Formats: sequence, structure tokens, C-alpha cells
Amino acid sequence: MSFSGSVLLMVAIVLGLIASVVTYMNSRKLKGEVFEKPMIYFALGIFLATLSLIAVTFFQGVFSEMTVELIHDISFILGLGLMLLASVKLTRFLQGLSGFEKKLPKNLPSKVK
Amino acid sequence: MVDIKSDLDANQTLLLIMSSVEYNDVLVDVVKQLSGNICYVTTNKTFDSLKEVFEKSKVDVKNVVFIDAISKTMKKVPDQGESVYYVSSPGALTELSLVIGKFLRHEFDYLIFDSITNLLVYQKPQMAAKFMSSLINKIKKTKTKTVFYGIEGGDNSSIIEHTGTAVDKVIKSDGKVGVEKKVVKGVGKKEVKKKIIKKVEKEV
Repeated sequence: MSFSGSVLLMVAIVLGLIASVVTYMNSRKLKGEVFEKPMIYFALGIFLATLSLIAVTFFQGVFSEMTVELIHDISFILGLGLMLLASVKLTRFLQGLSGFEKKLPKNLPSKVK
Repeated sequence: MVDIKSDLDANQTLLLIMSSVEYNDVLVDVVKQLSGNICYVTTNKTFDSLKEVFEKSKVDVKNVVFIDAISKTMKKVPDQGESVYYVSSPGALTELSLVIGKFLRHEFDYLIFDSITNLLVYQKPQMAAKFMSSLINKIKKTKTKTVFYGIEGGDNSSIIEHTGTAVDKVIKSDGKVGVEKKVVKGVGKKEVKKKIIKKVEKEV
């Protein structure tokens, strides 16, 4: 089945590319912060997921069907994997902070709710 | 001597401006004066160095929780230790804001921010000013009393002026904190002049 010519798919590709560029640019603003790496992972993840869409739309006439399928599947899996990694990193940071916060009453003898 | 305690009784947020000469004495003096739970945010000295300074001055730090934003820029440290939470860098304003916000929920009696002027080493003045406005607004929603330190000199005036307009009171350290000005005989300008005149007279 060919996806070339689908307007909705084109819109999805454009949105995906814009989202990955914007996310990457924002990650540069957070240089040195704990959120820098997750943002880069998100940007790469969105880009790879978009690449899978690009592959099925534009690469079908260029590469063999099997190659296109491979590019599509691998980039989609890698993209989602990177986004999962970013989420894990953010969760780990937030859990660490919450864990420390929960420990606080033990450290403070006089008054803490 | 700066009476922070009485100023904090009347105001929730203070900006304490000092020179770098007084800095070390002021930070010990302020913590000594404040009794209660303190959240100490440091962007200047590392946690280890601060602990050493306080221990030397016999200041009890059992009721102090530190947010250290400087150690991670120098050495490898874990995310947290006992009574200390490490932030990536003083320039990591999003992270710093998130951590301070989380700590403010604990209703600390006092928060000490040491120092606003050091943010300029790691961030643009505009970003630092925005961060300060947001932080002060966050603090005003809580009951925590806050002292911001500002060190005079260099290009620090912009952040000091901006924060000064946002806080309830601005105090300029009088220079008497822990430093006694002693007049040493024979080294004043007049004495030097007299000595020179005597020397010249002898030679003539």
C-alpha cells in the first residue's frame, strides 16, 4: 500500500519535523540542566518517529519494499524507545527530589509538617 | 551589626547587600541570628565549605537543609546527601526553581538565598531577573521568611536593583559585621607626611 499523496500524512510529517526542531532548540536553552538530556532524547525520538513516516511516504520509489519496511520499523521503535528513556530520566529526577523531600522531617528537629 | 531577625519579623523578603569583604562574616552571623528551620540555597560556596565555615564558628546546622547548586559544577557528587540536595549548576534556573518550590511546601521558617549576584556568572542578567521575580512571587505565597544575599561590585547592580524592587526591604550591610576597624598608630597619611618632612630636613 502506498501512502504517497496523503495530505494528512504530509501534515503529520511537517508537524513532527517542527516539533523535533523546537524541542531540540529548547534543550539548548537548558544547557547544563538535568532536563537537557531528556529534551534531546525527546527531540531525537520525535524525529525518528517522523522519519518512519517519511520512509513510507517518500522512500517507496527509491528503495526496495523490504528496506523501506526496515527503516520504518527500526526508526519507529528507536524513536519510541528514546522517548521512553527521556520519560524515565525525568521520572527518576522527580522521584529523587520527592524522596529527599519525604526524608526532610527526619532532618529537621524543630518544626516541619 | 545587621539585625536580620527584627527586620524579618516585620518583612517577609529581604535583600541584604554587602561587600565581598564582609561576606564570610555576614553569612555566619545571619544563620546564628535565625532560630528555626532554615533552607539554605547556595550558589557560591559548596556545601562542604559552608559546613566547615559554620562548624568553625560553632553554628548548629542540624536545623538547616542545604540546596547546593555549585558542587556539581566542580566535582562528581550524588544527587543528594544527608541534609543536602545538589542542583546541576547555578545557571540551571528551571531545576533550581523546581527544587526550591518543592522545598517551600515544607514551610521552612527561613530561606536564605546565597547569592543572587552569583547567578550572573552562569546566566544572562535578564534570565536571572525573571527567575528572581518568579521565586519571590512563589515565596510570597508561603509563610517562609527569606533573605537574599547580594554582593556589591562589578556588573551586579542590575540584578540587585531588580530584586530590590521585588522584595519587601533592602538592607545594606554597615560593614561592622565581625570586622573591627582598628587605627594603627604611625601609618596614617599625616604620620607618613611628617616622617618624610623629618627625613628631608635631616638630609638638608
